[in-house]
Amino acid sequence: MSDQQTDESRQSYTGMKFSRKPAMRVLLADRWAGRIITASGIGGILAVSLVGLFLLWVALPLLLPTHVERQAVLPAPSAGTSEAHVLAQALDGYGSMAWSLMSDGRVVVQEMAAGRILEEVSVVGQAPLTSNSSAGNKGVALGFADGTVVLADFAFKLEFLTEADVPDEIKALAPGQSRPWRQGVIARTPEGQLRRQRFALEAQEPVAISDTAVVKVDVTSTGSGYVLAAVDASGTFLYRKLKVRTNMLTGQKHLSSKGSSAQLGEFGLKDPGALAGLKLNDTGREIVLVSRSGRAILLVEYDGEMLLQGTSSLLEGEAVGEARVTAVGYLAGNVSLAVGDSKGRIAIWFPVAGTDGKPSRLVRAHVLEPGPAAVTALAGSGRSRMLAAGFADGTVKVYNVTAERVLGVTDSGGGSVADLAVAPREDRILVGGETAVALLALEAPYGEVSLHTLLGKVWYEGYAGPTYVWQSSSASDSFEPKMSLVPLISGTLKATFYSLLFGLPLAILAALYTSEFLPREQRGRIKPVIEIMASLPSVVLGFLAALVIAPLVEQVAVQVIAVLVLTPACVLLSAHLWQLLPRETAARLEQWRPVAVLLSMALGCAVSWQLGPIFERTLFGGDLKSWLDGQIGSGTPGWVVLLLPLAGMAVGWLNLVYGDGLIRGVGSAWTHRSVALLDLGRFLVSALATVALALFVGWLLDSVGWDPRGSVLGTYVQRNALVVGIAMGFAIIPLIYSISEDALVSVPDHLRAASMGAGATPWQTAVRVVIPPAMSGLFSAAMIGIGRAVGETMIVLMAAGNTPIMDLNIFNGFRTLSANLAVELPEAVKDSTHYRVLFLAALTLFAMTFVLNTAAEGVRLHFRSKTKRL
Amino acid sequence: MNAPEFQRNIPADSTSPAASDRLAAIASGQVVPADIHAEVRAEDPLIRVEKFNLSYGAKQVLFDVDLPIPRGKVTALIGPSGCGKSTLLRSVNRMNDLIDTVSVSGGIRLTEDDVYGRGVDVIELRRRMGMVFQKSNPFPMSIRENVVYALRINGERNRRVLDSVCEKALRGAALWDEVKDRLDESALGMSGGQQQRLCIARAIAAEPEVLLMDEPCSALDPIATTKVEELILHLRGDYTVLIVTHNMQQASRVSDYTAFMYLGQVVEYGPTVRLFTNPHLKETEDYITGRFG
Repeated sequence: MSDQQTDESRQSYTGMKFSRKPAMRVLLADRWAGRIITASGIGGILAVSLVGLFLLWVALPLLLPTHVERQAVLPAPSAGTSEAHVLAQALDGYGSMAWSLMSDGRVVVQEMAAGRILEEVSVVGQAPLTSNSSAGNKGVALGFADGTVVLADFAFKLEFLTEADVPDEIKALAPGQSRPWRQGVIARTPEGQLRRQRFALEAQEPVAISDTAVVKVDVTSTGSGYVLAAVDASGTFLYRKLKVRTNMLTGQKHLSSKGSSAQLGEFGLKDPGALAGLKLNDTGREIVLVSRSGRAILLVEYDGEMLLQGTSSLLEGEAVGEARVTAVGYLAGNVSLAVGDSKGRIAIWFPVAGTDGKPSRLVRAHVLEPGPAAVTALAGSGRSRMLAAGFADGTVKVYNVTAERVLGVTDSGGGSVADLAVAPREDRILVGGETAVALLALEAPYGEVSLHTLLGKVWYEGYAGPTYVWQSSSASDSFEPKMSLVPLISGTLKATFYSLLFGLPLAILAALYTSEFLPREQRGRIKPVIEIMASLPSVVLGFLAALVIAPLVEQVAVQVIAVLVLTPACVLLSAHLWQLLPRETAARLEQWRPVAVLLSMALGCAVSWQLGPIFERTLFGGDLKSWLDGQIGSGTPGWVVLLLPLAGMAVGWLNLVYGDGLIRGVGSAWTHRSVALLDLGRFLVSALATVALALFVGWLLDSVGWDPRGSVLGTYVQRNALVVGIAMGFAIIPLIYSISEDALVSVPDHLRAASMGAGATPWQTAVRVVIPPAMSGLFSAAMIGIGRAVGETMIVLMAAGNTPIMDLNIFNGFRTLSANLAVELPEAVKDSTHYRVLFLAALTLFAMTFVLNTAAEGVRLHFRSKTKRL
Repeated sequence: MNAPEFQRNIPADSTSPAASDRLAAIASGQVVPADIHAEVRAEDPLIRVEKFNLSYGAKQVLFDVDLPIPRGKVTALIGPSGCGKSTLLRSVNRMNDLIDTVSVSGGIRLTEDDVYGRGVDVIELRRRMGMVFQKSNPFPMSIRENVVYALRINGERNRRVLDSVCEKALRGAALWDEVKDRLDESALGMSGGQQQRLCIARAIAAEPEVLLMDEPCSALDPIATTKVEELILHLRGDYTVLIVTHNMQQASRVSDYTAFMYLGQVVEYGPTVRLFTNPHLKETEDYITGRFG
């Protein structure tokens, strides 16, 4: 138009005038909409990454490096007085004071700020001190040259003082400050109270157990008193049970002892001086004697008699003869024995119960990183699997035994280490050296966790070998936490696998059926119904599975298996029978075909129901559960059940290659009915061949000695993977169905038309033309199903039994990462190792779904690029 | 026959009164017998459409159509949009079955077999007819697999048979020289004209008795159209071709016989030359000369 330039002259057809410039309102709305969309997009990404980051933030401290450093070097308690050295030590909970038992029988109490000696107590009785047990929470046994033993309690006593009790210089203490005062240390707590701590020694009356000097002694307290094990200078092994009686009038305690003795010679040990250690466990019934040459003798008390359980050589390999055991210590729980030798090597041994009535034996479960010189002291922490080792050159190494991990190394600066003590809170280590006492600061709150303990096989105390175990808590404090994520990951994968095995084929075939075989209007009715299934809360599915399906399946397990095999067979059979119908009849009855399929499925179920008990009698010896336990029958029937689908596939493939040609070969020469009969005959032969093949291969595998029980099959547990597979299958079917149906429907109709126009059957069209372009969608559907199954919590929580067991057994329970979080997170102490490991498990779950989704997207795009030009 | 109500759109400038009478009669729902030339009657028909009625639900779109399709000849169906020519074409190989609400009466015979007879195997029937659609619809597979699709679904696995059929069909569709070096590449990478010729090759690879073409050139550019038209001329004699077209020039160029349809009824059917130069009916002339439609 030529008159466009002048607005006035331009004709308006509508009688309205519009500005050529967009209105301010439009521009503003546009700009703001852009900003809001950008912001919410970034916000969304941020929110997702923040979840990941938060999980990482909580879990990360687990993997941060640990360290030990020297905090102070203080004068040795013996400084200047004698050549006495430290025998045992302990540090208080605040790291403010420590006691040291000296070889000359003194107990020296030092404060830890400057090393000033607060108090000296002598425990020397009539004779010199000759032996002692290490400082633990069970008291200390002191052995003397006259054959007596004194049980003593070395403790720090706490009391809170009022302001009136203390002089002014104490009153002036600021919160957090402390200073020595009257044989103790007084500190003002952050709450402003005055806390005094002092050493208290409470010794029992001496117990005479021998005529000669006691050279090794150990004690433990049991419910009724104490148990004492000792070796005297004459080479006698002494075992005593001590009972404490308190005089009601005087309050005096009286110890009565009884027990047995044995000559060391009976155990193959001659010289009591060659003993490196004697350790009594917490029950007071197992004793380990370790000789300097590395022989360990395991004794068990039975009815007052000492029985020799076995001997082991603790120094293995090339070192026998050269190396000497130089230090022996117990880890927390007093079961695992740390053994250090003169070459600086440290190994952890513990007794493992023998199988088949064999006595328990000591096994070397962990070998720790060696130190630079002979091991001179070993001390376990009282509350974890931490072990501190001191070496002849003054080096101190701190380990976590479970993780076989070095938590820190430092030079104590006090010369050869005589004794070590880990503070109750594991924040400090007291090192009694030749020339000085060193206080080490330790920073290793999560020492028991490493990548190896999370993902590798670990040999836990009392186990027959290294395994993957998840056991995060126990009744006792000295318990070794077992935090392997592997059983949880495997449980997650097991749940996913079995639910997909059940749900994926059903969902995708259902989608194929509705999109390709059903008239459009019926499809429109069915799809919403299936999608409503997705809105069923998983907790409902979970309790249905746990309270209805699980008990039902337990009763009729054989029938359920039979249904899985016989129903498809029945449908196939009825399809072949349908072919026998004359063409006209078949065409007339076409609309009843779905009903016929349903009827044949019902028939399959009914037949399975009837035949189930017969199968159980003939195949599984009359009792499936005993058969699964491996008590009766051979493995062949199990193989047959497992191999039937595979054999079916193999026979089906052979049919495709050779059988179809047979049918086509006779082709037009035969009548419809005879071709149908031939096909039916072919089907029956194939079915027989399938069973025969499964039977043959099963028999072959069984005769080779390979029994399916113990791997894929095994002991029946009510809450098991089969039940979860069924229940979770129901949860993922609507999801997979809906997405795959959309994918199939979105394949353009002109492709279907082309295929149908070329004379393809609906099935050929579906398989050859519709599925390939829809593959990306089907794959996404499967992946989203997997994602749902991996993250699903309520169903597995309620129906999987929550046993963190790692196996493939379809009849056994498991515990998934998600269910584990739901079970344990509410009980985990905040910021504890357990708590952080649970967050790590959550992160693992997050990573699994993230990796799955990313992989799925990659594969989807790959398929997509092949068909995007459609 | 109860004729349902139709949206009638009688052109205002419809010329002769006689012409508008006949068209008006059709428009008002009466069944007006078609004017079928004697030459058509003289031919040997491969397909006979007899008193064929078809409805989509309550809406009837074909009224008592009688149409013999001569063997070995190219027959074109022309007519304004919505006159039912594509529906008629799709009725021949029962592609309309894919639509749920379709109902038919009357019959179509392929040689002696009743297409809509009881117990007829639709799959077998469709294998006897090749179909080419308006929009080229190659499968997302290689060119080779597209061409031999009909053999594949019939279970043919012999590589030599497949290769030789592939070559012959592609040569028949005048595509061999263009694609012989990239038979294993995706068919989706071809140009529009090539894709349509590939679809023709796919249709003739199955050795059909009839080739049904539903506006095969409407989505093609002039050069591709020319090639497809040359191909149709080339196929004449070997195949019986039934082609639906909007393009009257195309009908006159490629067909031996032409049927003019209007609102679900055949108006006139005769040899193309006669119909385009000297039609019996004024209505046909009006349509061909572009006075309405």
